[in-house]
Amino acid sequence: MRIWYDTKYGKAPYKEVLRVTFSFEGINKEDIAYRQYLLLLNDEIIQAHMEFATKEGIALFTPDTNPEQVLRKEKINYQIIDKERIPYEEVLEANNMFIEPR
Amino acid sequence: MKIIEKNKKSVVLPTYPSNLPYKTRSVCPECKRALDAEVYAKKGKVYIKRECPEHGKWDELYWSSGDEFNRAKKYASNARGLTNTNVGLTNNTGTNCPYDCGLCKNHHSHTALANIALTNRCDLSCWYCFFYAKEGDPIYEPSVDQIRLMLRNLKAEKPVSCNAVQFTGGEPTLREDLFEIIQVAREEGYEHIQLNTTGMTIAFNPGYAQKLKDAGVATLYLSFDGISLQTNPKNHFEMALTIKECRKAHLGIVLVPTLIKGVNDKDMANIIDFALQNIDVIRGVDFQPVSFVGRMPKNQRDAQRITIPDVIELIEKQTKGAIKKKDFFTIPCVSSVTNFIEALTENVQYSLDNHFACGAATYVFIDRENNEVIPLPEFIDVDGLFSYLNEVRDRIKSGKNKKIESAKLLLKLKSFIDNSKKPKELKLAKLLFDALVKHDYSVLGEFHSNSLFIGMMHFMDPYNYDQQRVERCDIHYAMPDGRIIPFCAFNVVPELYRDKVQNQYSLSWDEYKKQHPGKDPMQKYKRDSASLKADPAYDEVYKGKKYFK
Repeated sequence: MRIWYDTKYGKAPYKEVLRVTFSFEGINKEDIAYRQYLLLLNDEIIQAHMEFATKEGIALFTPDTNPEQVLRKEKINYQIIDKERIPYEEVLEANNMFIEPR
Repeated sequence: MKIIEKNKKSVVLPTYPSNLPYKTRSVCPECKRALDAEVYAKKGKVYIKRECPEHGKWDELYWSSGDEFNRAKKYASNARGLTNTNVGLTNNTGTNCPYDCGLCKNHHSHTALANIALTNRCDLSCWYCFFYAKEGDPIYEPSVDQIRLMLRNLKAEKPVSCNAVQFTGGEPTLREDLFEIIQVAREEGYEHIQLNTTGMTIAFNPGYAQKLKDAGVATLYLSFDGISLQTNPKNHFEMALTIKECRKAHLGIVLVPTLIKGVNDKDMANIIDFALQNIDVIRGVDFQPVSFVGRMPKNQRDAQRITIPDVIELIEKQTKGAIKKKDFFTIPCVSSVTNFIEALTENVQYSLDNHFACGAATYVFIDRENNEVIPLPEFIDVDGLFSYLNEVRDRIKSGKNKKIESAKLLLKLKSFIDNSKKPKELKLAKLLFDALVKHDYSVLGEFHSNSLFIGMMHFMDPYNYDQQRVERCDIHYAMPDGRIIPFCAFNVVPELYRDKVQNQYSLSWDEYKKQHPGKDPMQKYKRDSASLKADPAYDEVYKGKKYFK
């Protein structure tokens, strides 16, 4: 049974998510969008962005995921810089353009 | 909780690319790799080509007439961009388009029409539809609170907040709390609310249309693929009852035919004729050339692909020249009007600055004395008017007196109108002046009730995908996670947007059934053709051709 969590921004499917910042190498500029696409196909990843200019990426993982496993599976030559659990509410807040809570 | 820093300034480049050929970005239809692409002309047509290192060359028809493409391009407008963006904690920059949505700093257009999917349940199972739950699929139905937040989010767009929402599905009328949702949209300040529906609920529930109207729904966006049972098997019979109910309730309808070459492309004039015969309730016809879903071989695409110039040409042929190619204008042409009002009021205006290749439209009127159809450009010099409005705008912006310029406009307006061809009942000069200078938009109601909008919007598929069009898209989907996604990114890459987020926010089939005891999520409509055909409403709406015999 799915558990819903109350947030200031309505019911949410997660209480927390894992925000992982990682550096990467070995991906050329032409392929970066495609690699991001492939990464996002993983159900364990909620949102992600890989920035070629800085060679860094940020991915939001579902809370019980092992990010290393997912990144390894995608054959990304990566190094995790930062990994923290954040409330999913922060994700909703960042996605929404209005900043006043209900 | 910390407040996320929002972008303060749009950095969107204001200009369109140069003339054909021009560089853009597209995707490989096979693997979705984002690729450099080129839009170019060949033998009088426009194509988009790119090469995938894995799946080779892709070359797809983009517009079937280079001349029409170049004519449409003349009306391209530079959008206002967004000063706040929607890219969240991952700080998407838009460099990995189309995999960086919500609306990013590269996006040009504000949301002109927001789509909010209320459910993926539907009581029909149309073969070409990709958006309804099959037996056992998760059920997506955002809560009223989530819908309110989506609406609030769209309203927060700057510099122009969203004012028009379409509730879609699945079939939105299957939601028992639909009226509460409409009320929420009104509370959140939406002035235009429309429903994208098959019309079944309206057809079989007398009074339902009136309830929708009373609740604040302005328009039904009704799927309608042709006037025969062969071209429109979905709601051919039921449409008669839907129209009857909407007529009683004075609830406007826009017919939405999905056009497939070889299937219903011979029925366009018939559909327009049908709409004109029911003009008291049908406000418009919005043709949608088919977008291909899933993998489709090139020969099949070539056989079924229809593009905007094809639609326009076929309308001219099928209406025997009553509605001509030259009567159609690309959607962003209205920016001349918007920019003029913006200069006059010094307020940023709601604008339709989508890509010129996305759609085209015109208005037609009925000359009741002669039973003739008169397209608006027959009696308004559209180019002259737009050009004059641009001149006045420039003069106002350079500091000329607004009142004097408005007075000059009043005097000049009549010169753009050919009274000998204009429908007699239409007081056009007054209407234009009230709308343009006095900003009395109630007069537009009069305009709409006497005219039929004929438009077309060609949503993209992976084969003809052009990133430049997506960057200017102004028809967006709101998602419950707060992101706002351009229509064609939402549907061309459903695995990252529509399906992914809706799965996150769905209930499993079993959970849904547990939460809604006694309700069958797969409840399907069963047609009784004989009694529907016997209903007097059927003969009332299907009277045969009147205008394009």
